[in-house]
Amino acid sequence: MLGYRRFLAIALTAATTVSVGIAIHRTCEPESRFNPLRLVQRHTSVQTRDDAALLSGWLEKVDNGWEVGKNHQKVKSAFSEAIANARLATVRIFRDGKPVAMGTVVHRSGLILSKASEVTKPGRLSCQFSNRSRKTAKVVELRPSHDLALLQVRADDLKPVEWNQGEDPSVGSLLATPSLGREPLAVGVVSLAPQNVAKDGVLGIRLRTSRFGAMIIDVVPSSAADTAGLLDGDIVIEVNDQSIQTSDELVEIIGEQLPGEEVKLAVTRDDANLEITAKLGRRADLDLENSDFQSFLGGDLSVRRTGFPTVLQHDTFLLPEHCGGPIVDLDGRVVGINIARAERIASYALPANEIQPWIEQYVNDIQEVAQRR
Amino acid sequence: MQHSAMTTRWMIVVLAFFLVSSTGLAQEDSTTTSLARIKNGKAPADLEELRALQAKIRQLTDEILSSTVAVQVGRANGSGVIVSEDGYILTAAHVAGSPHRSALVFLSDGRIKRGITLGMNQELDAGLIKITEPGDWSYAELGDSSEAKPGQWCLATGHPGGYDRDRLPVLRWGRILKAEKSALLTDCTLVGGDSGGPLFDLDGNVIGIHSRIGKNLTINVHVPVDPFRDSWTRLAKGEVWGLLGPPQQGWLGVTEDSTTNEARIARVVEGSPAEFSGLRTGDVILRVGDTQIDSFNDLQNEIGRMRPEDEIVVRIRRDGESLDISVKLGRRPRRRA
Repeated sequence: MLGYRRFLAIALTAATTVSVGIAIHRTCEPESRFNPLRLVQRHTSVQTRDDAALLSGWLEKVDNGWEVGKNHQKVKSAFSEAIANARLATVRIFRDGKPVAMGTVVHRSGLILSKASEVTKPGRLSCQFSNRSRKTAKVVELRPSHDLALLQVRADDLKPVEWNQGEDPSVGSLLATPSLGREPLAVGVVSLAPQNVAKDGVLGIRLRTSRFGAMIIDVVPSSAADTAGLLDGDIVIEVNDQSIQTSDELVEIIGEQLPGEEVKLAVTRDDANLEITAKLGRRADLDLENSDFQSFLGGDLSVRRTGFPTVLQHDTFLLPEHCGGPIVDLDGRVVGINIARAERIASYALPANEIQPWIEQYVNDIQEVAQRR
Repeated sequence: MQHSAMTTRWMIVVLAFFLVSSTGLAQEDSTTTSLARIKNGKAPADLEELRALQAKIRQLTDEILSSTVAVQVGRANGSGVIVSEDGYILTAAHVAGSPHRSALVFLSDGRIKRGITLGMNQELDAGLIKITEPGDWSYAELGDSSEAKPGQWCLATGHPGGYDRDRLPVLRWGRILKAEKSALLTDCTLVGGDSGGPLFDLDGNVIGIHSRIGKNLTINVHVPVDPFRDSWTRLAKGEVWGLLGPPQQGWLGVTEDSTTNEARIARVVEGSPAEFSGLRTGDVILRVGDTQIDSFNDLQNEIGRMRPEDEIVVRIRRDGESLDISVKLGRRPRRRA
């Protein structure tokens, strides 16, 4: 029998991490509620092979199947009515047959909104609709500031989502993320009022302003700066052809870049001038002992998860491939789309009012062009 | 690797179970009023019951956020909750660290106050702090953790990632998955910085204090609040008792050579099981029992799964040759402040 199971538990201070191993024993309750057989069971009905693949991945990655968990099927089915309309405008996006994102139908003419960084990698895109039909898709417009992409499928009678026109849902509001089926993929609560998320690229250096300019006084091992060959004592005089006088200026410019982006640095070292290109890292990767490491406990995070003008943070358990689709409140209003799985505790949604004007603009532009022809 | 094999086995067991049990779903009694039913740990039956639940959460949000604080003790950043008018704060023992240290308390309205750490039950990870400046504080009432049961809805607040003065405490929602005397398990996700923060029931009473997490999103462990109340006098007097982290992990006593990806030993701790068994600086650990070790991290995970007194065979590479060495694991010496 599965007598008991052990897991590593990790204590939760931000600066110091103490690992302690604890074992949860099967208790001696007469009717044990901790029957391991009950941990994973009774998920949404499996309707297609794709669903099955997605769900089994889901089970392995997030262990969402507690008999009494917030994502138990009984709870999710109570949300069915709230997502009834939105799910008809929800699609699953495949790249070369593999699910990579969800999408949101935004115009009857076959326009579908999704998460740009997940759908712009090379490969053949297709969309699966709630009636399980599939259409090939291609990316027609991008909005990098929000990591949004518009996809076009051949159609003229799709039912678009109806965006929330009112206020953003307040902290404490319940939200559901539709899938193609009758029940939502997962449910959660609004954790914070809308906030800006910095881009947060880092070089991995400590700086001080010397009389010569921004001087590097420490390079974090294996950081972007280390990989690029920056050394203690280097003076950074230019970033991306922009001249730098103080360390604050450098910090500000770097912080405006996304992790993964390249910056060109002009550096003075021993009276020689060097040009160094560095691919920026993530603050999270600088120190494995901090909370960002813990954030990975519980499943993959979106690659693009920083740098959004405004997001609504909620606590819905999602995977990166669940982003791009609509998210609704209890009144069935589409309050935004999921744009990133950001942390163990957080998923981000772009609020409807951040999205809708851009789409209207795009549709107007297209119609104008069509009329001129 | 072992993990995924286990998952597959589980899936098989689970699917079999699914087939035999799916016909046996009992309908829940829906005669009681919606909120009472939900408070009792039931799943909301429909949209109307969800609305009742949401209204309750929204109604509680302001007050539970206002009693939630961030605390800083030395290098540790954690959370806490004020539970009395005169400023007693429940937190985790591993946030407080040790008694009579000065602490900074960050209130949700932006004020920063001085405090002092008091007693702790290290076995449960329960700690106490008191604000030492005069004033009266918004506080939360203590609930009754002995009544906590699986299915019960709860709310978690705290300062994930540490205090950020431009951000209020972060709200999370979930259910109790398992309730024991020494720990509550919920699917309210936690992360570093949340430690010491409160878990509330739907009456807005504190029923737990965030302590630790596991790999899955559903492994979030909270210290039940009853032991705080039961040992209040000892905690307030600054007493310390219990060992951290029950039951204890095994201890080998080697430190990492971070210049390599392999599990190479940089230093063997004096008086450790590693020293007794003859492990040396420079040895590369290849296997522990049947488990292949590719990195120091693998080694830590494997040893962390074991207990003091466990006897293991460690395969090492020394001067290009493989050697098997048996080790009886010990107990990590307690570090005292």
